[in-house]
Amino acid sequence: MGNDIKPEELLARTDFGTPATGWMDTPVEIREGMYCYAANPKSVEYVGLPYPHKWDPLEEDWHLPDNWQQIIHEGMKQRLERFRSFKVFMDICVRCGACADKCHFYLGTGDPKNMPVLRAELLRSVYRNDFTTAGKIMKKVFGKKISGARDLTIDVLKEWWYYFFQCTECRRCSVFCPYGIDTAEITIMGRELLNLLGLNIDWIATPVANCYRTGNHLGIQPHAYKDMLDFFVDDIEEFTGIKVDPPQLNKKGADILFITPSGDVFADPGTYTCMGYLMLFDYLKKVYGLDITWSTYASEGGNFGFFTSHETMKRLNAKMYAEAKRLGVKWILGGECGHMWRVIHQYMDTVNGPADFLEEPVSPITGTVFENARSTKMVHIAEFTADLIKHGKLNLDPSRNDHLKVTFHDSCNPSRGMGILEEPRYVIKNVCNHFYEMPPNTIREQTFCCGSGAGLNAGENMELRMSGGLPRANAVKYVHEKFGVNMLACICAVDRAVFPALMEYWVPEVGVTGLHELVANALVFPGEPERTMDLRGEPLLGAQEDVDEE
Amino acid sequence: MSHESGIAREKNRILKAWFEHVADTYAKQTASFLNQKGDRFANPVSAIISESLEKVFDGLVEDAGVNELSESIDPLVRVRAVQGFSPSASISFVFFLKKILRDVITADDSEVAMDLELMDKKIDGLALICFDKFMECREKIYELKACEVRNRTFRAFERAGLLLNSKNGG
Repeated sequence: MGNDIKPEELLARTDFGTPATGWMDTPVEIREGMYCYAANPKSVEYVGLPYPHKWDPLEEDWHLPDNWQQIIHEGMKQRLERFRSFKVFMDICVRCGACADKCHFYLGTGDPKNMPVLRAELLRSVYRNDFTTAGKIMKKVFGKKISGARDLTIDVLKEWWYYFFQCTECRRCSVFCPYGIDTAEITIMGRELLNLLGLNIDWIATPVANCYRTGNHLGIQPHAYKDMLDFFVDDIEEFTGIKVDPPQLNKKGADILFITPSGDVFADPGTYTCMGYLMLFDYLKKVYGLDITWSTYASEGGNFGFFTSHETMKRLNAKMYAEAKRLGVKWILGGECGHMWRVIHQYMDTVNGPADFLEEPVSPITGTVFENARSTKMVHIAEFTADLIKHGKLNLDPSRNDHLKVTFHDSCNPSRGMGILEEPRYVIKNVCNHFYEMPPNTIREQTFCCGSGAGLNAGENMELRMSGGLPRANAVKYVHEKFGVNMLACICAVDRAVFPALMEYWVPEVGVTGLHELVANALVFPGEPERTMDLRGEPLLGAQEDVDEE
Repeated sequence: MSHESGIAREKNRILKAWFEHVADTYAKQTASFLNQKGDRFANPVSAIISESLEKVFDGLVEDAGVNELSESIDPLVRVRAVQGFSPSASISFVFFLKKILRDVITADDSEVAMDLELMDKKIDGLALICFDKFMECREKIYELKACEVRNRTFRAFERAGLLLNSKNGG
């Protein structure tokens, strides 16, 4: 009772949770809404990841092995030796603070431990203590710590877990770092270390197990995958009057294998993007003879293994090349996805390549050689479609998207990770008449993350997602108020899955779409009946009046 | 309330103090960052605080109605509703204004004193508006938590006829 605050003192208090101690000595407070549930041990066990066990972040005891400090120490040592970048990033930061206010989680939550520099310091403080020469000498000879060093305690470990799962590995901070420190790589290492103790989140662990077993995150079996695609074929006919052929599945000897995130097949509004792919491929087949196949084995482009360890990422990614080899295709076309492309662009060729059984990708329709994909043999569909449009191969009527005022969100991985900046814009400008950019410091290389990437698109961490997505939503709100924007386009399945909730909270008047939904709306098939609806069954501009007049 | 009253004339001083009080509810480093202001996209929370407080202040001075005040304060309460504040701490910034007004305005005659008294009543009303708004935001968060998976995946499966419905005994 002695410490209890009096009601009349409520307004006078200034300690709204601000701790009196420094950050290194303040134990983490794990708050509801800011973390994802602990990994199901069965999922951890299924893929053979270390130390599967039941635990709860809110409980005091995380049921760790007795030698957990030794496991982390050895894990860190191995990674410092194996990854030169990790060692360099631990050593060279001068704490200039250029990254501090660039993180969407810091901007949205106001929590200083979400400053990228401080998030890295969580790990670096232990590195200084246990791995630097100065740190070791000071400890051994003088029994003291060097500045900025601390012991790896259970509180430190809990803090790692809380904050390394409050980073979406979007790499915006790295754009501003004068040394080029990639803080995403520090998060990747932090998560790998936590995985050594079975400390993952279930939104990552279970999709990984599903993906390994059944081929996609939701664990949908091949027949259901086929059923969904067949259903889309029916929907397309209902809304557009066009009868597209059911897509080829697992066809040996096809020219091209198409792989997309399963979110496009199983989650709205990605399903409309999927209908867009189906229509584009059918158009190209009928007009130009394109021979493309989907796969029920490589039925997931996304790779949540990337958020557990390099080895798991490699295992999940391997099925792409394995399926390409089994089917005997020439090259692979990839759908609209985010981190799938980071894995393809920066890891696939070296972890599972070289794919010397595939050919350098050439568009069978335009003859364009995709030299940038010479190594991975995998082409991004935004490039593929932009090339088709550039060569006048698509008959397009952009007025069919006149009911939409569109802005474009650069998804972090395709934009910052691999430089896909112009192609989606080129496509949008050719299929829509009303396109408006968000402010320059929120797009392209400086794009703000959706706030839910890197496996954080669960439901239980909604407060984290809403605060992390605030900077992006703030820019969308601006173009909504200034230009009347009502549709947010993107080329990432996680974006499509999480933006509807983000928009509903911050800018409820704005919908979410993939690029190829817009393409399909505008695509004019030879001899097609006049369209009155878009792919969502919404009336086209002018169509409603015509119906009313009749 | 007259626009010529001392309160309206001291708008800039009052808003500056009110902003600083709101910024002080965040951690020290964050308060400092918010006070730097700058580009509204690079420092979005700072811009939202500034814009909301100014609109609300103008609304209070100009006798705005509940709907207008509610719209003005929406962006700020919406932000604070997801930042981990307790409900009381989240909307406590409203009452800071009472103290600020007394720090800035000298009630040297009865007209000013009446203006301050009227403002107190309006501020109390604003607190109730913020309470409604805070609850609206929190309820939206819980609704999103409850419905997102259903809206995202269940609906896609349902459209595809891949779920048994109750008519089929599913």
